[in-house]
Amino acid sequence: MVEALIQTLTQSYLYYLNRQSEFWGAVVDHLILAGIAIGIAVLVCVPLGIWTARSRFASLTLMNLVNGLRVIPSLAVLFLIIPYLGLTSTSAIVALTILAMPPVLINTDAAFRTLEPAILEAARGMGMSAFQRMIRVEFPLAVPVILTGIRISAVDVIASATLAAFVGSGGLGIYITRGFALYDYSILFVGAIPVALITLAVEGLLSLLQKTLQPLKI
Amino acid sequence: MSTIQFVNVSKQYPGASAPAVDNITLQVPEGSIAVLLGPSGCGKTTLLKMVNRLHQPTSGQIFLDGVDIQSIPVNQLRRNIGYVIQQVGLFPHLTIAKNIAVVPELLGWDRQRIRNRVDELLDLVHLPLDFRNRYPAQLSGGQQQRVGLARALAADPKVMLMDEPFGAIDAITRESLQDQLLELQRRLRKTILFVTHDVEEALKLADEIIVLDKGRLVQKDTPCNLLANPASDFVRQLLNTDDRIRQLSLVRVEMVMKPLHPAIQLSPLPQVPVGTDLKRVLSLMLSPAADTVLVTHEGKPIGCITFEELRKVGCLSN
Ligand SMILES: Nc1ncnc2c1ncn2[C@@H]1O[C@H](COP(=O)(O)OP(=O)(O)OP(=O)(O)O)[C@@H](O)[C@H]1O
Ligand SMILES: [Mg+2]
Repeated sequence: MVEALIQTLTQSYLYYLNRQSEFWGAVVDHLILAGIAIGIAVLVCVPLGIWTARSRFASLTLMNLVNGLRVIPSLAVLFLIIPYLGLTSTSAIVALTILAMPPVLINTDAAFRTLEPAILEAARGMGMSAFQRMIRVEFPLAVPVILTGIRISAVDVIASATLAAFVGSGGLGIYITRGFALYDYSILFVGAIPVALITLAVEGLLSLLQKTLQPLKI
Repeated sequence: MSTIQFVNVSKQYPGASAPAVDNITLQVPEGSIAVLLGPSGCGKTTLLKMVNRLHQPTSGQIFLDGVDIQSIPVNQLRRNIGYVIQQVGLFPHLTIAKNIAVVPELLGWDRQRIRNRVDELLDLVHLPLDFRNRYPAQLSGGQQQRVGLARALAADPKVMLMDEPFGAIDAITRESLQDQLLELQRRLRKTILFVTHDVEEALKLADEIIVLDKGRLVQKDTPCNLLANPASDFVRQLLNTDDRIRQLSLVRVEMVMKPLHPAIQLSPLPQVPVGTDLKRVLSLMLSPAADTVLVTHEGKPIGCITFEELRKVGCLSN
């Protein structure tokens, strides 16, 4: 059993050695796909989260929409999009972005909703404009909570970016689909193991960033 | 900007059955401490927050040194008013130095001037200079409130608004913060509007106490006059004046008098012989300019009594 596993892993390693340039290309594609999806999610959802934290209307509509979206699995989203956007990277990115958005939105909303009223009142009472309050007080206090949302998204998206291979957009998913097609676990591992490692690394990096931005437990 | 003047100020919150502040006209003279006193919900905070425009009056006008505050850009107004609240509201992600520097930074002071000012203020509120680089969470409640006070004083505003600043602090620390505020005030001469529902605190700090009830001004007077001549049963009960006067009548001057300060001007002060009770002293203090009463023995002054001694007698009985 253990012997078989070691043998498979050795084969995986040989497979990798024979196709190093393909492999590293796949890693880069994977990171780009995930990065674009997370980037778009942050750019869209942080402002939306600030809005939902302040507006009852936005909160009712957007939060319900997002909670609804969360129920649909990414694979299903991907297949729903393909008829419109075809077998393209765009389809993959749209599906991954939809996956990435809810945690960022929900955490941003929570971060701004739970800011301490006394702190906001002090900021106002001292004569900060709305913009100064946002830049100097509200946003810095919200960042650690927003980062948690981004971390959750990143983990989901990096794992799910393997789906991109279904629509021919590359990424480490190519080894997983290939491994399935050829009934060869050693090929499948060439995709699965790096995905797991990248996920752990990104999670670690973001935790570290969060700790440096939050010098004290507050 | 130093006298605060309210002219027919009312505030009606939407949906409330009665106004929170009801047609208040009053003046806080420059360099004095006026304490807003009254039961919970009587409108103290509402009245205070209209001065820095955190609340908007429904009607009436507020003037700072004769200038209608509505005519001053709101953030400029606020940067020129020190504001201290019960919950302190320090910025948890900023160091103590950065917290204190907020208003000077908003006003565009240069770095060196801000550095010097922060050191000066830490000194002023008796905090060690190495607190500069600490974060608020690393300070005790009393220390945090000192930083709150330093932050409000940072740009040397002439007017300070303080909403129960010592309300959440233990009794001993509160006493020491009150003493410090009085000591600061002797030097700085700010115009301070101070909210409390602690009668002892009001009697101790106030030059004048403004008693509010259900949004109305009930009485505005010096602590001494308020105790001696409460305007209504409400004031009588709020300050517990009957008990305090009874207490005073049981204590004789020699039991509480202070030694004479050599620099004191003896001639115009009222005198009482040893054996007089404090109720009599209170009545003498009602006349203006008699904040000190001399105690004499066989015609020679041997000690003196100020309102502080009278207040402590009432304080002990409670
Ligand atoms: N933002 C608000 N909206 C509506 N009503 C308010 C608001 N703030 C205060 N009130 C009401 O106005 C009245 C006066 O409130 P205010 O906070 O001024 O009282 P206070 O004297 O400061 O009381 P406390 O000693 O409890 O702080 C209360 O009845 C209160 O419920
Ligand atoms: Mg209040």
